[in-house]
Amino acid sequence: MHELSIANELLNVVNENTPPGARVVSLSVQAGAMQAIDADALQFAWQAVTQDDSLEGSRLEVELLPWRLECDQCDRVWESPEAFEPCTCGNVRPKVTGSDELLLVSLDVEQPGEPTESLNHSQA
Amino acid sequence: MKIPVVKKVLKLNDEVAQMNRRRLKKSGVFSIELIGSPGSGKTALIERTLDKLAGQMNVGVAVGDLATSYDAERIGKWTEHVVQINTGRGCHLDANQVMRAMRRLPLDEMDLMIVENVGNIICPANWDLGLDAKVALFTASEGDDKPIKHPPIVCSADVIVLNKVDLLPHVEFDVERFTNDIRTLNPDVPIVQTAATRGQVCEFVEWIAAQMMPQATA
Ligand SMILES: Nc1nc2c(ncn2[C@@H]2O[C@H](COP(=O)(O)OP(=O)(O)OP(=O)(O)O)[C@@H](O)[C@H]2O)c(=O)[nH]1
Ligand SMILES: [Mg+2]
Ligand SMILES: [Zn+2]
Repeated sequence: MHELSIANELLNVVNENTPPGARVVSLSVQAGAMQAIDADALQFAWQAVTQDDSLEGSRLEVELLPWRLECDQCDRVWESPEAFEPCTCGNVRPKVTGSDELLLVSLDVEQPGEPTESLNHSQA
Repeated sequence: MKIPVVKKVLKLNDEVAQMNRRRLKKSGVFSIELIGSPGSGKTALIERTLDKLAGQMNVGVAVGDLATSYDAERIGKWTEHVVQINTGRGCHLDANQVMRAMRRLPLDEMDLMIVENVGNIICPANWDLGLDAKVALFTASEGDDKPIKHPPIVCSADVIVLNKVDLLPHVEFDVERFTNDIRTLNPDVPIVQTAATRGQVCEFVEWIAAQMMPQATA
């Protein structure tokens, strides 16, 4: 359950980057394949750590980034949902070079008094 | 209103890891982290390594577990410089816990620090502790497919240990497959074999020694 401790860290980073008085409607996170993050588990953990908090009800969007592979025989670089994928040149052992980022990329915030923009409530 | 942020989620952990790194460098301590499943033999490997290094260098150890200080008691037979970290519910160590453990170790007198992470080969991969090298431990009894099922830990390892090789004759384990799978993920990582409880840890001890003497050829 590393998602729970990641959600806790995320809570700090979100609080640090929220303008004073603003309410966070949603936030988006990018997680590289090497982070082995389960999006559902992270969203569930986010609900748990924001309970009874000013961030309660904020929506977490998680973008999972693919594996980054590099072929040292033909210099091809590509991305794949699989860590093990032969190169088109026939090399069965391309190198795994990423991705290992875990980033908070944006916050969607609402200032008090500002009309609510409900553009993005369509996701399940 | 959408505001771009682009901040590392584990920023605080990474900052503390940097502090650990600087602190260890200042004392000239080489530091390694052991990651392996519960019961893979992390503590046994540390015990036998301490035995081999006795009289050659001063080693400090920090061991992480959810509960108990059993591992620290075992290590205590080999060195007085041992700290138990109890993580409670935590499935991995973080940089802060290691920093607190480091405060209880005589870093200036030490040459080597070994940190045993909580038994888990998934979660520790995310958390930089600020140490020099990551040791990923697999065992003959877990099956040869464990590396390929856990790419993050294999990709980030600086050395892979295959422990319990004394059991190889009794289990189905294809060392070649194990090695090939690791090579796919991390082509240059050294792979060493040990049988910790039999005291066969030479390959691992030699790897440590080679890291501490960059001039010498391994
Ligand atoms: N046959 C064999 N058994 C081993 C070897 N190394 C460790 N063991 C056994 O494996 C079990 C677990 O060893 P530990 O050293 O406690 O393992 P650990 O990884 O520290 O365990 P946790 O800290 O609880 O996650 C013990 O029963 C050891 O005797 C080995 O090389 N060969
Ligand atoms: Mg142990
Ligand atoms: Zn190729």
